[in-house]
Amino acid sequence: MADEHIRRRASKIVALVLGVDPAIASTLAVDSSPEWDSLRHIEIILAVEDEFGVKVPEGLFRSMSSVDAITAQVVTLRASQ
Amino acid sequence: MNLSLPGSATDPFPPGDVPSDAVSDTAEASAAEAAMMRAEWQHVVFAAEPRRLALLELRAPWPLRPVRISVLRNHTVETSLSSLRGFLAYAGYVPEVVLSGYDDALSTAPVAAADVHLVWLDLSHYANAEIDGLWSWLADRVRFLRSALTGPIVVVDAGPALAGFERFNASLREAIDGLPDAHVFPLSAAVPPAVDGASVEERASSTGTALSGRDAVALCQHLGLCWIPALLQPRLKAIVLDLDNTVVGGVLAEDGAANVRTDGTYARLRERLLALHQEGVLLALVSKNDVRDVDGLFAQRPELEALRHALVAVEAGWQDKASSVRAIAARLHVGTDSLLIVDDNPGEIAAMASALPSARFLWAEDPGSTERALTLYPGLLELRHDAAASARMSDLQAAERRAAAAQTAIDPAAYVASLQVQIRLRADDHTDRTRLSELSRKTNQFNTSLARFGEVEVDDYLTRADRRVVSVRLRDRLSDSGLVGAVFARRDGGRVVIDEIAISCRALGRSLEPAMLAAALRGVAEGLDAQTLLVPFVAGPRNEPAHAWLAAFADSRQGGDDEYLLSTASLEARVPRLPIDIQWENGGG
Repeated sequence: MADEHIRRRASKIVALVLGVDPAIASTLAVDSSPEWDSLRHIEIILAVEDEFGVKVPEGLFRSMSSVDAITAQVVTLRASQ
Repeated sequence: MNLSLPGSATDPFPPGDVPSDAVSDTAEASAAEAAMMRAEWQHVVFAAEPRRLALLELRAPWPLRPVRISVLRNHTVETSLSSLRGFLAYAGYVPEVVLSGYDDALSTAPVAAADVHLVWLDLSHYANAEIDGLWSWLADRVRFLRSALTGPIVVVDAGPALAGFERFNASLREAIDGLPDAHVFPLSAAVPPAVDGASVEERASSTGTALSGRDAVALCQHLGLCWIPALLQPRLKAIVLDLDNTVVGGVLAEDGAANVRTDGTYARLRERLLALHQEGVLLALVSKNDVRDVDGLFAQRPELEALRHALVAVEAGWQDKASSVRAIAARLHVGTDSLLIVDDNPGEIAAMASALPSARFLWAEDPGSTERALTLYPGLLELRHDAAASARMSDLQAAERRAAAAQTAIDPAAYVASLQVQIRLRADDHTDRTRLSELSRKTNQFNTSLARFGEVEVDDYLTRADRRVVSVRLRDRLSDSGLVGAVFARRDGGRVVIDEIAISCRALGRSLEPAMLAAALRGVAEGLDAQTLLVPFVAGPRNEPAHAWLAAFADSRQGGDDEYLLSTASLEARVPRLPIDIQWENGGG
């Protein structure tokens, strides 16, 4: 239930940063979406950080490449931070 | 949070004040709906640490004015500036940001056609440079930009991460201080204090900037709410305060003067209001209370004495608040679009917004958030010290005494003589540059063209041989009004064009405009060697007084209603002879 709540908010962040319909945000990924460029990726990470109160280590930046991946990392980071 | 809204349907912009290029994010709302939505936005935009997601979700249903921001940079600013949009939308703008390439040398040709030029360098790129050499180099580049650009320039100063940042910032500020419309943005003051090193972005190699995500949003908050609006629009002139649960805690009529709360956050709110008062913002009170109760409150609570002294007008009674606000605007000689109204009651805000669609509103949810909002509210930032601030207050008090004396005077000349009016004129005085620009940008009633000259454009009139600008100062026995009038003129082939005449509303209503303008225009004509002056008139929402003066004193019209011809000889012949002491102070006449 908590994961689903995180997923919904992560999906909203991706949709708003990329300017896409929230319904399709969860289907997008860095490598397959031209609008999800490196600058938007940083913007998504910064929004994720202040929305969930976590700090994403630099080494995890690349791994947060989809809504599902962001959700999983946030769950892990919340548990460890 | 959802604020309830009494029904209303009024255009949120006053007639004639809607820019043709205004856009909105969604379908436009009525003035009351817009005021309610702005109240709902307050939690997001005025937050101590605003959240990016909440900012991204904001969609303005009111018209937004496009603003083109050119950014000269040497680092990745895209992710930092991405939250600017929400703050600017609250202030009524939509940004178009144009970025330079990454340029440590600051040698990129700047985008000339921008409303604001932002110079934002990551100073960690110059880690090997001496502090004195660094600020001196940056000041030189800003001087060059100033000579090449007309729009306002804002230079972001050094954050605490730069060793010696305080000396760097002070020196840079001092070096740029004299440049027209060039300003230093205090990054170190805008960002919240570091918590556990949160301000240090150790991931800069990935994010492209040394600024942390949190600090980037704080920077956007100050740029979007305070700085960019201050560069683009006249400052608000007055704050109209509600009393119950706004300035004091509790309801005066129910709790009594002895029991309303004035301590804690209410005390800090008063301090903020008094600081704004010191910076030249007029304060007034509108309260639905018996006037005797309000007087009793101020008499019984000594901690309110400073605020009472600062209030230039108090309207207490049971009439509707919009009527009270209109009465205050009339007493202060300002338009309702120059007012910020602060009230804790959403219903009152909605009702006032319907009746006063051009006024701004701040929902006083609690004194702490109100105090914070008043540090950030668009239109309240004083970019440069307002020399006219103290004059404005004493002028308003004197105006009421003048009006009373005028009503009882039998002989107008004797009345004017009793005031001991002095008019002093100066030609091309560089020390007047900031105030001349203020007059051009702020005056709405006596303004012939609404040209809205920035400091750079004023500088052109001050320095070029084919141009002349006259400053008019006014004082009388009751008050020193300071610099209240400006005439901007240029030679255009064989004729002299008066590009703008602007007189402060504080100087109006004393029948002195004809005399001061006859003297000023004679100085213009002599300085530019002309007998006849062409005055283009551009009609605005409120500049009928300027139009009426032209109609009464011009020799003829050309181009329909748009241009008037004045000869200095016939102008002086038409001016009523009044016992006024008029002198030039720097030989301009």
